[in-house]
Amino acid sequence: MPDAAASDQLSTVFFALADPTRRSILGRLADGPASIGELAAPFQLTLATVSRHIALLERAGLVGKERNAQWRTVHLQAARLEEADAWLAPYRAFFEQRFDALETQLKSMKTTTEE
Amino acid sequence: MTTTLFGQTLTEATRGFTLTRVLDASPGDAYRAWTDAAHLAWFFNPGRPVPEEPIEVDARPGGAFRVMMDESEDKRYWSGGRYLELVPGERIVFEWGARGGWPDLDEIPPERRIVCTIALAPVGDGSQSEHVFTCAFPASMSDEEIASWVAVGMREGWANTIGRLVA
Repeated sequence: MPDAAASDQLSTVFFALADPTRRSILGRLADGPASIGELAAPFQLTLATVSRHIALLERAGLVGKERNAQWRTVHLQAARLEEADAWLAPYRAFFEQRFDALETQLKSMKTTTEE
Repeated sequence: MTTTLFGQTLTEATRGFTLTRVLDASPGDAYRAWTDAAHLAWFFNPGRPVPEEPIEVDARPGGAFRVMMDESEDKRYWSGGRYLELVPGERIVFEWGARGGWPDLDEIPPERRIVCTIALAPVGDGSQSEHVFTCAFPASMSDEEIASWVAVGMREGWANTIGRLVA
């Protein structure tokens, strides 16, 4: 069950995920760490704009930054995403359970029809 | 653009989820199981006696289906959905809930309702079907609101459901 503090954190995560550019940045980071320049390359966006997106993802705890000798790289922090996923689990469970029953029922409908 | 991460599809509906199954039934039969009161018993709470209240289905846009959710002797409420779209054998879209039930469609304005979509497609020779169910939370609903809403539902009922699943 979500408590108030967890809900605040999740708010930030869901807000961060609500933007398509940020989702696609996360998708890129799932393949491995990248520099801000590399992350900006697929978009028609300035480095400053991409940096703002990354700052927002960082505040949500979805990414972390590392400073190398020459430049900063950004990497994915999956734990937060898994939290968001877990938050949806009860809804998913409600319907998964019903669809198990639906499958059982459809089998019996089929049997009845075939008889 | 759709991005998949850890098996989760990150779309606009990240505040929501998609469940995909291949059913051993034609799209027509699967559609009937959703929209014919005589075949909707699978929606009942498992492991509980069948409620006395009959399932009601008014399968047209603006109509609704209602199922009495019997979770315990003390916890009973109507649930179901209000249809937005019905395409026989293909597609069902509804707002989750019931008037005076849970979620309470009398209390929740349309732009804040949870929208469920079932997309059906034939598989192979058509004796099986792909059943894609999507549950999307409205963008206008804050996470705090959804979280408190979840907490209310879970405290009373879904905690038991989950308990049974992990038991």
